[in-house]
Amino acid sequence: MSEKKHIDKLFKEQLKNFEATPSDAVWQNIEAALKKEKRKRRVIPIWWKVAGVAAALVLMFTVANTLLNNSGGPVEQKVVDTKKSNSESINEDRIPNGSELNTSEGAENNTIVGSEKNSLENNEDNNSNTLENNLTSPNTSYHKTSITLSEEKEKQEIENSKNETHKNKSVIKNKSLQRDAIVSTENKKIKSNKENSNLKNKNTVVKNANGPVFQDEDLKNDIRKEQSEIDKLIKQTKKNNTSQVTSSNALEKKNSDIRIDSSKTKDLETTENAIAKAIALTENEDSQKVNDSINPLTKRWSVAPNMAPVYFNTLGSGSPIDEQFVDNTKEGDVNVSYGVKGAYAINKKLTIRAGVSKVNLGYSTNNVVAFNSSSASASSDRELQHINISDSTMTYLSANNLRFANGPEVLFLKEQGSISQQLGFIEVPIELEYNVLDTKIGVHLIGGFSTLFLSDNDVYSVENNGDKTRLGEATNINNMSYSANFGIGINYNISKQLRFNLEPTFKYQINTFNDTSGNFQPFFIGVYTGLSFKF
Amino acid sequence: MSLDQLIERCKHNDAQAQSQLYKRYASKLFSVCLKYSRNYVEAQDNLQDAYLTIFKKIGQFKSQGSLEGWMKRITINTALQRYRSAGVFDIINEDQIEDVYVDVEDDDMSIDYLLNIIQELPDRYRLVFNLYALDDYSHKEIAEMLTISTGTSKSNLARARTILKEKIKHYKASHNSQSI
Repeated sequence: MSEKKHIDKLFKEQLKNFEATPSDAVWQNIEAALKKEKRKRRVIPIWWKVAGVAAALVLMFTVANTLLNNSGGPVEQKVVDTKKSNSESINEDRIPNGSELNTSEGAENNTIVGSEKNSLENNEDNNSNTLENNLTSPNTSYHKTSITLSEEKEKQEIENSKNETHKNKSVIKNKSLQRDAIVSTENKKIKSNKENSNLKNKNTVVKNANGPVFQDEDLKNDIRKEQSEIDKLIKQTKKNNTSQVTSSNALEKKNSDIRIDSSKTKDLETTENAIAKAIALTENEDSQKVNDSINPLTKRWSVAPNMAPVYFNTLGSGSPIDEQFVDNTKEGDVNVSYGVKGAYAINKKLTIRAGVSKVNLGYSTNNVVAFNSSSASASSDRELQHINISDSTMTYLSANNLRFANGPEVLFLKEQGSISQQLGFIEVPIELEYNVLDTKIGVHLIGGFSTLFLSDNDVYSVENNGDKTRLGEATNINNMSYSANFGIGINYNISKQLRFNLEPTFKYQINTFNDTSGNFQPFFIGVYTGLSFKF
Repeated sequence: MSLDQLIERCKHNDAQAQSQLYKRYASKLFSVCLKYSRNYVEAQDNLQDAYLTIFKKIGQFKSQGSLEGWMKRITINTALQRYRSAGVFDIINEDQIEDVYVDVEDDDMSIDYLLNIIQELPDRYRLVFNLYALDDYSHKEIAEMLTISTGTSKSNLARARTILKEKIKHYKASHNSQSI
């Protein structure tokens, strides 16, 4: 029985209920791939966590930085309050001045406990006399307070000898605290405008008085130790009834009134001078230390455009193109990377930086024979495993695999060319920089990682005469991959704002290819050069 | 386990559910792969890739539609991706396109044979013939899926039909001569 039937209908009817069971191997492969996927998923979040922490740190420091610069407001108010409650009765003359002295005085008052109120008031009453003379300079104010303190001590000795030791202790404490405040005030004063005027100036002083104390706990302790030693010396001299002279001698150059008093006790001048020198010395040291720790951090931010020749190669022998090329020699290309980085100095030693750059990488697989597959039917089925070839008429074979037994003789007469794979990435590095040497010419170590986003993906066939034809693109490259970065940087400080960098960096790529033949471990080395601008 | 439960568990990468989903649809989808692929081995590769895509994208599946239809579309797409780029450059005049009829007798040809000659078609012809004749896509849809023109789609279909007809004719001739 024969009939005419449309060919579409014939196929459709016949294949309508067609089902076929695939072999078990298919599911096993799927299962394996799913497990691999899960493992990959676990790896990626670790990178993202690190990146997240780094980003959070940068954000935190940014916020902290802007807050520190803008918000003297609430802190200042606190100090004003304590000053009002504790020292209202002391001296009305000082209040309108509103300068550093008042704030340091306020801090001092604040630290003294209620039990010492009486002595404190004495102290301050005495202070008020000398204060008026010395308001202009915080430097002299230190001397002034030491004078008044010793004066007060003397009085107390006379009035109340039983409580002497107890009070002295508190006074020493009080003094050292005050001293801290003054030291920092001095330092800050150098930086802030020297006119003591208005809220603005007050703001900076309040902030500064807090800043260094928090930042440098050790320094504070040092100052305390030195201070207590000096205090002991002062006590000794006081026993000889010369305390007034001692302190006034320190003031000698500045305060003529007291100098007249001091002239009475010339026989003790040498010891007094020594003490004065010691005080001056510690003061200088302290101020230097504090200055050192503050000054380099004034310019925390920097921007650095950079470019680098990059050399790409693999650590193992393998091929991301096809398994037949595993043993072929590979040659890395030198390309160019360029981009920009932003950096933030966490402290003197540590800098965190991030950026964006374009990087091109490439390498050649040598000893490849190319021929027209239509003329060589023996190998026409052969395709490159991981390359999506746009022109399918050509076939590429590794010369290493050619044997007289399995290939037509004509192949051996052909010249050998190469296959060149070119990749382009957008690189987003997040790195930490550790300063080893911080001089005119500095050295730093760099560690971090980059996220690489695939932007170009080409495979070319290169003939011996240099002719280049595009074959297509690789199918086994991940759109997002990573690299672990290590480098050494050498920098030359041209000026305070401008720095020249030279950073040879090794970047080991992770997760670039999702399927390679053999052991292909890509890496690239770049010598990054650029100028960084601090602000 | 209901289908909805199965889908839900697959969305959470439950290994047991994934295995069940595979078993439930493997033979149907494998037949699709066999029709769209060059041979048995590549059909298995395509099935594997299709399932991996399905598991990866099952979160995007909306339960209003048919799961089987969705999975079939992914399977077809997987095959299209693999063979789409392979160009066939001969273009024939659309005027030459005509419907092709063949003589058939009942149970004349095995499914295996029909499948075999489909697989032997050049890539593009095979895809177009499958999409148009077996899976009811229009030339417009095919043109979009394969990034070709509707004219090319039509001419490819005509070429596929002609080749298939020739092969069937040839087969019958040899079959008849054997039986005599």
